[in-house]
Amino acid sequence: MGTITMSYTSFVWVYVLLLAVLSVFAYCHIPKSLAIIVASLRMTAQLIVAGYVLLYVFQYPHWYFNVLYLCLMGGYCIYRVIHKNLWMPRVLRWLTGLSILGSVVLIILFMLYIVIEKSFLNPQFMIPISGMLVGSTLTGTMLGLKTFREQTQARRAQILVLMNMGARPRKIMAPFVSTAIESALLPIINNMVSMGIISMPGMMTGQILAGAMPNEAVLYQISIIIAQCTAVALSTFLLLHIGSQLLWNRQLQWTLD
Amino acid sequence: MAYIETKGLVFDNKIRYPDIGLKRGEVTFISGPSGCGKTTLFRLLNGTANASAGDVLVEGRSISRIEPLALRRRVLLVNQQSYLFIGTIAENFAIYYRYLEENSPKEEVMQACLQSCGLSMPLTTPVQPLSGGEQQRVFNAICLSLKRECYLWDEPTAALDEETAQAFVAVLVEQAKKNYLAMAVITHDDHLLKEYKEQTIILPAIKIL
Repeated sequence: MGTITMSYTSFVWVYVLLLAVLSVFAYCHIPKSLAIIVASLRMTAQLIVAGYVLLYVFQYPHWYFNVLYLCLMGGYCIYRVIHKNLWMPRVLRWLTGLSILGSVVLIILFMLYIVIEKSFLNPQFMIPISGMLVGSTLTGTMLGLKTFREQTQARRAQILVLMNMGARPRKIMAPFVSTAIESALLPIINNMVSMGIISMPGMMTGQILAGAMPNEAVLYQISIIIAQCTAVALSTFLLLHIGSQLLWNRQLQWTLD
Repeated sequence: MAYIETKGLVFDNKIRYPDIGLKRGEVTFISGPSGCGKTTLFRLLNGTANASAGDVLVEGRSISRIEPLALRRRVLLVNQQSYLFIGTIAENFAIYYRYLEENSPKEEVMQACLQSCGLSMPLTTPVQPLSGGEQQRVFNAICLSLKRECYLWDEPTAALDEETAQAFVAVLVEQAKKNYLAMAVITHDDHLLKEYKEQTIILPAIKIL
């Protein structure tokens, strides 16, 4: 099977499809036309830059390029999570960074050295796998934190009543942490269930389009999905299990409004 | 000697409280204008809020020297806003006891506490369809069953009609005497305040310090 290449003139046609989206927005009076144009342009620019950077990195591989790339992706992911969750106290923001980086790095090393058996120094494997893991961890952590915040606000009375009665913070927080971790993992679990029947996963499709044998692409896809699921589970567990305790002060008083 | 007493208590450098003491076997009624810090006083007494000055003593010992959870399990603050979980009355007893890591009481005890709070219905009754007043009484019954040394009731009769409120307060007075408990009740009920005039403390309006 040969690699499929796309000419730039053919590629430009794909943007015509966006006109259909813009027409739907105009018909339904959805005020997001500008947003989708900006998002498309931004995505195009970001991916073109990423493409050329990766081309350079693949041609001149050095360990520090890999580390720099991972730091950039991880740093941006952490920034996005914190920026969207400004309600978090400083200590929780630090914990967010540590739990995302810790779980992602752990799973990357496991994937590279045990599953794929490639070196961390090999950018062709390290960078795409890191990108997929960081991306899913970003979505999962965002969802987990959103659910945790919404639930603790909606059920504040429950927290205060149990605190006044003398329940332990860990016991009080347990159902909130479980619900948040569950909601963080739900998209991946749903994805796993439908995969291969009603959806063809992006990574596998990409490999097949690029000329890989489908049976080999499947193995990579399964490994990646399980790795993503584990990275999300680990990062949200670390963040919420430990973080929920940091929302109580030394007198065991609930500190969140 | 008072079971729990305050000494020069100030909250947030704004509210200065008069020194008060709650004795075992008695119910003390607390009233005062809205915003004078009645609920905050209760939170200071069971350590869920911190005083900016002064101290609270439980049997002569400063609460700063008592482990927070142990203090709250001795001095129980019963919120004005009750909270019940989805499920039956018996399940709610079980859930609260599980949270507090204690064995759920026997059905006879649950039923007796419910009756003390003016409710006679099966323990298998789901709590969600109950009225606000009935839910409040189920919650009060759960708290009463915990058998703490001191109870701080924050407007426990707010959602009750006059007759039920008086009956409930009579139960509290009886329980305090019978089980030698220290109790305080925040209320705005004029009838209750008149009836228990001797045991009432009226907090003054806030004076900014």
